[in-house]
Amino acid sequence: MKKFFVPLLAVLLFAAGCANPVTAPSEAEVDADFQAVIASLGTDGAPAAFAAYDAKYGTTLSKDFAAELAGVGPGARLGKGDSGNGTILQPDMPFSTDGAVYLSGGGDSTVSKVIAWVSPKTFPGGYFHGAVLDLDKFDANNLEAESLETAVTKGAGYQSAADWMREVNACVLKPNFAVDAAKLDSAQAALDYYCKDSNTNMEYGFFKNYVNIFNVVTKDDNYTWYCTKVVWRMWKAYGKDIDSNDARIDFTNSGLYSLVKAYYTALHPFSSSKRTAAINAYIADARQKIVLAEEIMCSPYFTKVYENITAN
Amino acid sequence: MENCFSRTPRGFGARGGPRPRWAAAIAMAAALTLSGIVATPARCQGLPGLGAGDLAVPYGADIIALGAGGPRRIGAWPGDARPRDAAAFAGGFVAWERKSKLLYRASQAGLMALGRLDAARVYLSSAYAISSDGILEAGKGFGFTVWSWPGGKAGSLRKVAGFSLDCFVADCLFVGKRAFIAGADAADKANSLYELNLDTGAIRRIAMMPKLKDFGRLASDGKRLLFYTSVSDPATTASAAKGGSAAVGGPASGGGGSAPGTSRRTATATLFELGPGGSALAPVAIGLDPGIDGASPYGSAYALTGTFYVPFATGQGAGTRVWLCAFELPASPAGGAGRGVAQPATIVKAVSSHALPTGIYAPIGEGEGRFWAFGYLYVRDPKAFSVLGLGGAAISATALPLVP
Repeated sequence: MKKFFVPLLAVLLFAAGCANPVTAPSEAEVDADFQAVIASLGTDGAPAAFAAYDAKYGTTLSKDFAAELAGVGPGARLGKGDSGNGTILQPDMPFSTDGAVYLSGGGDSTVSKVIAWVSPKTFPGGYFHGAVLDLDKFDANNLEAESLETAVTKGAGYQSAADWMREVNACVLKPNFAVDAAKLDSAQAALDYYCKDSNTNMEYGFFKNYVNIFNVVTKDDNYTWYCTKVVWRMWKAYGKDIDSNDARIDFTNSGLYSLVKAYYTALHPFSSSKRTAAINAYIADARQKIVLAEEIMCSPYFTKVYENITAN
Repeated sequence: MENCFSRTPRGFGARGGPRPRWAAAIAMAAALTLSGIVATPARCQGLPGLGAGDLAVPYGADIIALGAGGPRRIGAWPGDARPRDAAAFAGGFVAWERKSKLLYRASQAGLMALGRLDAARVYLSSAYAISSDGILEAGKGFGFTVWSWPGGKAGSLRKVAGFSLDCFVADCLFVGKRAFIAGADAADKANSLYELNLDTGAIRRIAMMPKLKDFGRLASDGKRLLFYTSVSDPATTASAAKGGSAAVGGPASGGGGSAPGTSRRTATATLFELGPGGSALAPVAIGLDPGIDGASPYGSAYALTGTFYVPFATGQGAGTRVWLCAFELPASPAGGAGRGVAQPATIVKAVSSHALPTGIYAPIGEGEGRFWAFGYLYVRDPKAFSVLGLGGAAISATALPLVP
C-alpha cells in the first residue's frame, strides 16, 4: 500500500502546486506599465519601454513598431534632414488654390512623432500630417512666410510653403466643387479665432493629456489640436465635413491599434473575446472622433492634383 | 557720434547696419577666441577660405563666400540652410540652424554656437535676432522675442525683449538700433510697417495700406527707408491697384500695384528719412515709374551707393520677365525736420532698367561694390536658386548649389 501511496502523494502535491491559479494583473498595474510605454512614443526610450512591456505581458509592441524603432519608418523619418543640401523635394508642389489640402508622410517640418507613430498608413505615401493653404498669405518671393494652417507643437498654428516643399512624401488635394471665396476667407478667419481663443489653454495631440490614448480628443474640442483636425475644422467652418471615415482605411495597420491591442492583451490575458470586444469598441470610437490624413484624402470633396512619394 | 548708417557691409536682415560696431565685434570675437578666452564649442571649425572683406552665407549644406572672385564654397554648414536663415556681414555671418535650433556666428575664427533659439521663424542681423513662435495668441497675434549676443561669445545669446503682434511677417530689415517689420494681419486686410526699438522692445506702427494680394517689402541705404509692396502674381497686378490708403501719421500710400486702367503703371510706395538710431521720421508718398508697361514690383529691392534698385515684373508663369529698375529718390524726404506734411505723391521715374535672369528673392548684402542676393523665380522655375551679383548693369547669376 505504502508502495503506491508515496508516489500518489507526490503526484497530488505536484498537481496542487501546478493548480495555483495565475492571476491577471490589476488594472492599476497595467495602466502604470502602459503609461510608461506611451510616454516613450517617439523617444529614444521607446525600445526599452516596449521590450519591458512585451516581456511582462507577452505582447508584440517591439515587433509592431519595428520599423519606427529601427529608424526606418515614416515616424522615424521626422527630423532626419531628409531634404539635405538645400534640396527641395517637392519643387512642383502647387500653391495656387485657396483652401487646398496638403498631406505628408514625414519631413523636417512635421511636428509630432506621436501622430506619425500611431496613424494608420493604408495608402502609398503613409500620410499622417496635414495643412490647408491660405492663398492670401502665400508669397512666391518669400516661401518662408507662414501660409498653411496646421498644428504645431503648442497647438494650432502655421507652416510655410518652404516647409512643405521639403516634405518627404506629399500630396495636394484640391476642392472639386465651386468654392465661395468670401465664405472660405471667413472660415479661415474663424480658425484664426480658435487659434487665438484657446491659445493659453492649448495642447497638441490626438489625445488629451498628451498621449493618454484613452482620452481621444473630439474634433469639436477647442483645447487639444492636431494638424488634420485644423484642416477639418477650417473646412467644417466653411460647411463641408471632410472626414470621410472611409472603410478602406485599415486601422489594424496602425500604431494606435498596436497600442490598444497591447493594453487589452495585458488587461485581459485569459479572455480573447473580452480583449477583441474592447479593442473593436475603442477603434470604432476613435474612428469617429479622430480625423486622419488618409480619411481626408478619401473625402469626396477633394481631387488629388499632386502627389510625389520620395520614400517608402 | 558713431556712424550708425554706414551702408557697407550689409547683410539681409542687417541692411544698413553699423559697420564700425560689426568690425569691433568681429575683432573682439576673433581676439577672444584666439586668446582662448572663449570656450569654443565642439562644433567650432575654421573658415579658412573667408577673406576679411568677404560676405559669407550658408546655403543647404555649404558655407559660401561672396567676394571679388564670385561665389565659392569654403566650408560645410551643419544643417540645411535656406535663403533667409542668415545675416551676412564682412568676414562672416550669423545664421540659425533649424534642426538643432542653434544660432551660430561664423567668422574667420570659425563657427561658434551662440545659443539655442527655439522658434518657428527667425529674422536676423549681425547683432540681433527676432524670433517668432508661430502661434497666434488671443487678440494679439504671434509672439516675438528680441535676442542679442553681447561680445559674440559662445553661449552669449540672451533675451532682450518680447512683444506680440498680429503680423504675418513679409520682410524684416535692421537699421542701427531699429528693426522694421512689414507684414499683413491675420485677416489679410492690411499691410503694415512697424518700427521696433531693439533695446526696449517698444514697437509702433508707422505705415499701413490695404492688403491687395501683395506683400510688404523694405530697402534702406541707412539714411532712408523704402516701403513698397511686392505683388503676389505679376500677371494679375490690376487687383493690387487701389490707392489712397493712409500711411500712419503721413500722406497717402497705396497698394503695391499700379494705377488701374492704364497700361503704364506707377507703383505707390512710402519713403522715410531715418533719424538717429535708425528711427523713422515722417513718411512721404512716392510713385515709382519703371517705364515698363504693365510692370509691378515683384521681389526684394536694395540700395547701393545711394540708388534704390527695385525689381519689376510682367507676364505669367514661364513667360514672366523681371527688370531691375534704378531710382534716385529724394535725399531728405522729411526735410530733416522729423515732421512731414501730407502732400501728393511725387512720381519718380527709373533712371535705368536692366533685364534680370531671375527674380531677387532675398537680399544677402553689399560687398566689393556689388550687392549680393539669392535669385529665384518661383513662377518660372521653382527648383532653380542662384546667387546674384548686382553691380549696376553688371549682373551675374551663379546656380546653387555650387558645383564642387
